[in-house]
Amino acid sequence: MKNFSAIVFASVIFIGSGTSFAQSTIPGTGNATVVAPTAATGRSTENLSLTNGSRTTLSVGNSTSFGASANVSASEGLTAISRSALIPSAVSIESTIGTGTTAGLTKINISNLTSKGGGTVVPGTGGGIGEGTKINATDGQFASGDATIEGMGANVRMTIGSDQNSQASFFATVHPNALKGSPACGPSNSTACSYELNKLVSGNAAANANLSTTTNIDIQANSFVQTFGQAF
Amino acid sequence: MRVFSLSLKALFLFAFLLFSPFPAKAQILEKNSTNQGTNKTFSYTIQSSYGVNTSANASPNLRVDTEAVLNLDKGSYVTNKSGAVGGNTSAVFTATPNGANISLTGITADNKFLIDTGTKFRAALQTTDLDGQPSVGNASASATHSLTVSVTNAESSFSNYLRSNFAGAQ
Repeated sequence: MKNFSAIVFASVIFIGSGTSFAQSTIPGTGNATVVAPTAATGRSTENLSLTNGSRTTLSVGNSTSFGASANVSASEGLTAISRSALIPSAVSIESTIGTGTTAGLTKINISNLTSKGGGTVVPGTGGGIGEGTKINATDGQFASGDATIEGMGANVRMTIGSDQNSQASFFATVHPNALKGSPACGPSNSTACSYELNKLVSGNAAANANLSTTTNIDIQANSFVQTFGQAF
Repeated sequence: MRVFSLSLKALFLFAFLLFSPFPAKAQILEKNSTNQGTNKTFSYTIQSSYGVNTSANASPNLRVDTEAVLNLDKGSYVTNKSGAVGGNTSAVFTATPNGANISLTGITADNKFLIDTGTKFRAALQTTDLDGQPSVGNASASATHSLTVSVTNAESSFSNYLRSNFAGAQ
């Protein structure tokens, strides 16, 4: 063993029971025991580290977004204009968590989670996601489920008044370029304009305003067992 | 020569008698150490944010104009509390075969924003130079508000064993 200088990384051995020094029973696995490789007699060092635990994170919240946007996509030889304006006269945004019928209490119940495709979730021996659970999401395409939330709320109210200062206006136009030297021309149902001769062209312009409110729930749960042993 | 031989025998006999109670043995030193412990973490954050954002992405032959102004009116408030209800804060996670149940206690967040006059959002795109190139672009001006509660519950235990054996000459 004196000449055996290379570190021998442990191949962790699970046995039902044992009395060796460098060993530890893994919680939640019955009597499964991890034993570090034992070096031969002589100078030796044996090390075994075992870490196990669980970690669960939850992120819930409401988000609201509103505003104006414009986009243009036009080929050469076209004039495109897109304008959008959103000037509300009053906006009220309310978002609450834990303010339901029972103060300070928020309940979230997610059920009937299913996946389309080859993904499978096989519960463990305890009837839940934990020890023995097998998850195969390689061929999963999408998932669906039901969510019931108590104690969370969001209320957004936007008012576009009749006064001059408030407006929600949108303007979008696409037309061929006007002939050079011709006076400025804006096309309308009563005014004709002279345009350059074009090949096949296409274009679009859009202007819009949006208001959206979403509630997001993100849950991550995992359990882990890490073992490392070596003898040299 | 005889005297010398007797003296040598006597010396060997003396040495034998001196060291006979201490038989030669290999010296073995061994050091053992064990560390065990647990870590538990429970943390939560309540985050409220609001603001405006303008963005534009356009080809060089487009003129872009964006503007976002957000004025908050009096009466707006942000109230985030934890531990004030019943004096404690807790989070219970229960995993089920096809879902999960979560119960948060002691965390409240109440946000209200009132927008004052002068709030406006504009976005405009217009072709300018006739450079014979396609015109592609998008522009936006918006306001956002978010309220997020994040809870982390972690528990782990660890065991470290170390044995060092130093065997002397046999």
